[in-house]
Amino acid sequence: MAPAFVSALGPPTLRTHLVKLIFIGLAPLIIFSAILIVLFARQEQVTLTLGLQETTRALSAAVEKEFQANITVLEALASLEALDAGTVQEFSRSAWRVLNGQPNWAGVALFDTTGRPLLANTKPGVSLAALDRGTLDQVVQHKRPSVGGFSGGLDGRVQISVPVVRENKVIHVLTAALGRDVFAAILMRQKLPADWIGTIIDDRRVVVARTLAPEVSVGQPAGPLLQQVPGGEKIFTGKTREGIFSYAAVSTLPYFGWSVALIVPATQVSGLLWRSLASIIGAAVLCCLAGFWLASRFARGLADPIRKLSESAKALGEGRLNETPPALAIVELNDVSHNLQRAAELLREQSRLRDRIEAELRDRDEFLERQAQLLRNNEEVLRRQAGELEQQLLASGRLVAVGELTASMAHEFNNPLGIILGFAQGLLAEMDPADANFHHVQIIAEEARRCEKLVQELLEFGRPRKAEFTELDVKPIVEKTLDLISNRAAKSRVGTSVSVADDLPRVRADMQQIQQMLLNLSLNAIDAMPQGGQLTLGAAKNGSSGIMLIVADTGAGIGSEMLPRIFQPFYTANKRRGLGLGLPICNRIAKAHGGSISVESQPNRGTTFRIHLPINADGDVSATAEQPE
Amino acid sequence: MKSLAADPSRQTSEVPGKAVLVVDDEQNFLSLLHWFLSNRGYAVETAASAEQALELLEARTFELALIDIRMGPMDGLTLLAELKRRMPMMRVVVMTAYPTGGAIRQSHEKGASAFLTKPVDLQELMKTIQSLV
Repeated sequence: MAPAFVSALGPPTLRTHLVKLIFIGLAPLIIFSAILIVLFARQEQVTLTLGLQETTRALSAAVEKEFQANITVLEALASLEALDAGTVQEFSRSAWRVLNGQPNWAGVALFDTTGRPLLANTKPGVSLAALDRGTLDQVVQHKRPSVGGFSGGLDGRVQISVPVVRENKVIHVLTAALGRDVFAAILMRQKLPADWIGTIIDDRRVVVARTLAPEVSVGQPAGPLLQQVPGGEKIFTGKTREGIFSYAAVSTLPYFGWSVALIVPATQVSGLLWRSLASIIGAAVLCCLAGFWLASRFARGLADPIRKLSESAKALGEGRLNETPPALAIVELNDVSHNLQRAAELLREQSRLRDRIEAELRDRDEFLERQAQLLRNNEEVLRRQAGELEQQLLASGRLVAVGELTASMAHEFNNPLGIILGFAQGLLAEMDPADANFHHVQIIAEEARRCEKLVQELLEFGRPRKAEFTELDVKPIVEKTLDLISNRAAKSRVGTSVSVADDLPRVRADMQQIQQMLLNLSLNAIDAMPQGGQLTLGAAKNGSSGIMLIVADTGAGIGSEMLPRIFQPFYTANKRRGLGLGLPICNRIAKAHGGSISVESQPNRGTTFRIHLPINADGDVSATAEQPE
Repeated sequence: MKSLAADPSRQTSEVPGKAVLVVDDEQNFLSLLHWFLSNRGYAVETAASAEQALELLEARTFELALIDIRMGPMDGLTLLAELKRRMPMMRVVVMTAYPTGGAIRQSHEKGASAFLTKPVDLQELMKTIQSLV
């Protein structure tokens, strides 16, 4: 699985999105909880510090009360009459009584106003210190009680002094020494929590009592935290003697200068806050992990159908249109799947449509290509026809004249010629060949025949017979042609041969005209071989829709400069042989059949004429091709 | 020409031959056929017009008639019809220099036995006649 948060590698995965979603959902909750906790903790802190202050104040009140109680006892002692007379012994007895009645007192001493001791009653092992200058001033000058500084260690004491006033005049100073246990007891009475530190320090900031480790701290100057004690009531922070960062609530006795301090380790004040924050953070981390896990599971559940869908879409994209998109467990994805299916159907339909259009276009292309080919062919035909027309135009002057001439006169020649020929033939039949005139009559017959042929040519050319198309087999026509020319061929020592293909189809054609073409070409061929040669008549298939008639000789050939002109009327190589209409007639007949004539010639090697004829000549194409079944 | 010379019918000149009527407005053609056919043993009569031919027919019968189509005032096809009407058994050969499809068809419809194109090839004429009578 890909890392969820590596967005640099591409768009984030579904799991990333889900994780983000969960975080976005959780974040306000976490932040709100944190804020609540901070607020709550602050409140707790305030409550705690207030309690701290309260307790401190109570403690300092207790200390002051202790002082007052002792001062009251001392003042009562100072008012004894025994001191009026100045009888120290009597007062000493009273003093002993009071001393024994006060368990906290270690001793009682009486000084004169200069500080000289007059009496010192002490419990065993106790020695009283002399009055210091400050105490003396306080008591003698201002006539007010004074609490001296703490002296000594665990067995140290505090001396409380009051003035002995008679007639508004200070005559003595009475002092009592208090053990430090009094103050330790005050702290003990308060029943502080175990980790709180209660401390009492005197006006010189010497520790008098301390709940924590009194054996090392009592009698010593206060720790760094309490060194900065100001007057009045205050809360501040700093490090204790033990180096613990703590809160301190201090209350200073206004008159005596002593202070009471309660020290709470900072951990206890802010501990709740940190614990709560830690819980919140822990919970948040747990939530995140759970969210991550859930997101992964959900993402897998979501990604599976999406991946299937993606595969379907991919298949669609790659043109595999027949794959059915899966049915999915998520409504929206299912909709997408359905839509994909519809898109696939649409694409399939379009694909089919495209195939059809392509096929049609291909067909159309082919059709157009064929049309273009036809047009090209037509163009070629037209060009050829134009050339032929041009040639025919050149000859048209003569043609018109000949046409008229033949129309009016050919027949008139025919009969006389027939008669001349008839008599000549008749005479020849009667005459003895040895007769001197036999040869002359032969010449008459021959020339008459030649005239007849010329007239025939003119008639054919000037007034062509209307073609009569029938379906026919060309083989008999070829063979008949050979029969007709065999005499002439033999006379010119020309050998003949026939080659007709067996599978020759029948063609629609005019039999007489086909016969005439073959005859004309064959006679021309014989004329081209005065020294003898070989004449070949043939017929073969020409593609699937036509046949080809062939007349080939081995004669003199036609010069290449003459070849283009041989189909023009009146173009003749030998004036004696004819008018030059034989080949034009052949050409015209071939065209009337929808065919053509081509010629191929090599000088001294021979000439080959090929007549191309379609199977269905123009005249009757429609009748044969479009007959209903 | 060789075949003409070898024609066996030439030897039967003493025996009265089959009667042949030739109708054509061309005198020389009539002379040619008369000479040619007589030499081959036929009893030849000639007429220069259809009317003349019908006159001849009044007097005698013919086994065969050779008639031209283009004649005036009566043309050959009318004559053909008349001949066949009067003598249905007579064989008629139509000759013309204009062998149109219509002329050929009409000739056969009216009862002509054969149709020859002018100028007539004597050899072909001989064959036709021999096949008919």
